[in-house]
Amino acid sequence: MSAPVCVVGVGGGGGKVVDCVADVVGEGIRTAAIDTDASGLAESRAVTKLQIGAADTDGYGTGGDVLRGRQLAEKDVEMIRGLFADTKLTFVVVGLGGGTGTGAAPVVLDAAREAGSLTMCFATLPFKFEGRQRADEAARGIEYLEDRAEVLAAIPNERLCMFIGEQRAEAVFERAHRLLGDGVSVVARLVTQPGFISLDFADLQRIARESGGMFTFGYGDAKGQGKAEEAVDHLLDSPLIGSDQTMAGARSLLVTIAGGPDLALVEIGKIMDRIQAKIKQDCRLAMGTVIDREWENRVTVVVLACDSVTGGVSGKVQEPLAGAAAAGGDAAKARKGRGGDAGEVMQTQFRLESFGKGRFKNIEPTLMDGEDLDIPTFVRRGIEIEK
Amino acid sequence: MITGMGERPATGIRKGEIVDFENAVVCVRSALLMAEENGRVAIRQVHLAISGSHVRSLVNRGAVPVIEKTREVTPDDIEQVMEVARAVNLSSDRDILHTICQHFCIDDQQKVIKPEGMEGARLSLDMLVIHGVRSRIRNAVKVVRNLSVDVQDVVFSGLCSALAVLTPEQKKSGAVVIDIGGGTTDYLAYADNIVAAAGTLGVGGDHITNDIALAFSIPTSQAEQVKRRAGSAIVDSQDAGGSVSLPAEGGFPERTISLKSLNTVINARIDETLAMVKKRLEEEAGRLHNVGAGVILTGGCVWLRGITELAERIFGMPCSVGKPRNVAGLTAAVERPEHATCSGLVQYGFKTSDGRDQGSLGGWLRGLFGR
Repeated sequence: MSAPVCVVGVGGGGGKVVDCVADVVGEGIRTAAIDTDASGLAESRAVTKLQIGAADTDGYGTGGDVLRGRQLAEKDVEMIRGLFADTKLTFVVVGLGGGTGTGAAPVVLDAAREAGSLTMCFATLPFKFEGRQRADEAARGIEYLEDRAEVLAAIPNERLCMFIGEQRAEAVFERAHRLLGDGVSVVARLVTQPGFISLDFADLQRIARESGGMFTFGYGDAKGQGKAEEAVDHLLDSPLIGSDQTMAGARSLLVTIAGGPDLALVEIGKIMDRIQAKIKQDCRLAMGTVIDREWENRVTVVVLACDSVTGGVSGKVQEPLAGAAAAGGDAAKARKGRGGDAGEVMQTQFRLESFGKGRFKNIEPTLMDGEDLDIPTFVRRGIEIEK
Repeated sequence: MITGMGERPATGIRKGEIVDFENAVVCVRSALLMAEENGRVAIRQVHLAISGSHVRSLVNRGAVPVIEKTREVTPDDIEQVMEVARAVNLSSDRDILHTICQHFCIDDQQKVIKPEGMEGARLSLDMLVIHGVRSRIRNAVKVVRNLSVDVQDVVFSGLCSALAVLTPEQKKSGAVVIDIGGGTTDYLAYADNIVAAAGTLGVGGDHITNDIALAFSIPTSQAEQVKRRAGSAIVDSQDAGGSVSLPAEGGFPERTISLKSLNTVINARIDETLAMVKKRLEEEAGRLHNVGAGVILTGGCVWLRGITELAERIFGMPCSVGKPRNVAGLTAAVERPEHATCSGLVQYGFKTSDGRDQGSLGGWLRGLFGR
């Protein structure tokens, strides 16, 4: 399968987020849902659906049994591995606390890393009212994930809920899924659909691998006049970030700004100025933009901040930051167009070649349900063709 | 009776839309000349069939109060509700191509066929509105006008294909017509004796060819040839181990490719396309029931082996190949599925300009499509 980016939802909660991702992503991003629950999968809008433990559970879930979720995933690990051939960046989205998600997500991450993919995991933590048991399972799950994912963003549902500021339960979940979906797809498109300031994959890799592993996820979104300021306010004042300490203590920061073709340089400048005012001088900062026609008149800022306090404990490879570009240096990283980008990327053996579209290359693509239909179906479905 | 036809490989057109104006003009000119020569006529006016993924449909409901004291629906009420149902709010860049009446409702009584004379307080009408992006429709018209030929009417090609291939019985029992052409796949569904949904996907036989060319790194011309010669929409067991040879062409050496691989590529594309049509139909017209006559496939791609079988599997209903009918003349024009749109267009043109009032197209279409 040759999509360079794969977004996988594991379990029910993860699957719902991936649905939202599947609604918006374009070329080069494969969406997949992994679950034990056949009925949940049937409703999934992901491109690839994998039902694990079909024979053992009869298509029902795991009943909250994490160990069972893990065993079932391990049994079907070959099938899961099939997802990641040629994938360079994998997002695993999971709602921790349940059986399938908590149990299977580490297996999925292992499979992705074995395939040589950079892994980013977005995990939500259960509400307090869901009970002690689920909270404990989630906490144990986080430990597993932290060992495996290069970037792990753990997002407590409570904070997500406060951030959304909505009361009705159904709407909260719907919007939480959409928000996370937006966040994931924006970061994913940093690789497949870079805007005029592109972040190359090597930078992303370095940030991910040299940081502590635990990241804080921040999100800001605004539309209309003054959208840049509003989005950055939304981001910085939000309960997702928690306190100013998160930004001030960040050792590395990945900023993604998504906008429409109308996104102005001045707006990017405003956003980055506000963010830079909050962070330490020696914080390693990487930023990139994503330009999407769907984002016309809208700006979304997604931040992944690796917090030196929580990040230090996992004991991963840490390079001294001496000589690393200071915050101001990011302007030098701004590269124009895909051309220059491809050159950079080659150095890290990551080929970001656009899929062959043959005779449909230079014309308006036929997009449907987030898929570019001009790309051969067998490519998008990941069918291997013996030449 | 069809007395002449002209056909040229399309140039300047991708996925049913003009992408290279000059080349499109050249291509249309030579096809027109061929038709003139073939039919020994001078062509001054044409009907133009239009397609492209911008063509979409929606159902608009219009309602009016019945004002007569007796509460009886009068022809005036019907006229008025049709006007209201036709007045749909489209985005400013779109034009209506067709408005086709579906059902009347009187108060909460659904699916009334002839409301005149019936009693009620409120008369409503569901109108299927087929619309497209104005500039794209105009560009197609411009190509023809560029040749000093007048365009009398622009017709959605899916409508033409349905007109050409369906029998009255099929319309009555309900049917889905899918025209898989070179650049686009048009669809139109009849259910309950009305046109329930219509639209276009910007995917067609050219995509299959392109997929093959990319899969085996061969030129498009070779891919097209091998698709026609050996292609199949289903991968069956006898394909395993089989191979097709490609003659040397333009610097590409002679080689063979596995039949199984070839058909896997084709199968993936057609499977996806048909599944998308099914999904669209379900979005637009609800679950596909009341389509007793099943799926009728037409257009150039029906020549592919196994395509009806695949369609049967996907739609779970009987599928057949529809050839143009209801028209006499050149066998090439009347019997080949790839000419369904043209044949239907001729019938459309013939019927609309045959002493009928062009103004009341909706009313006329109602006569043509259904009851």
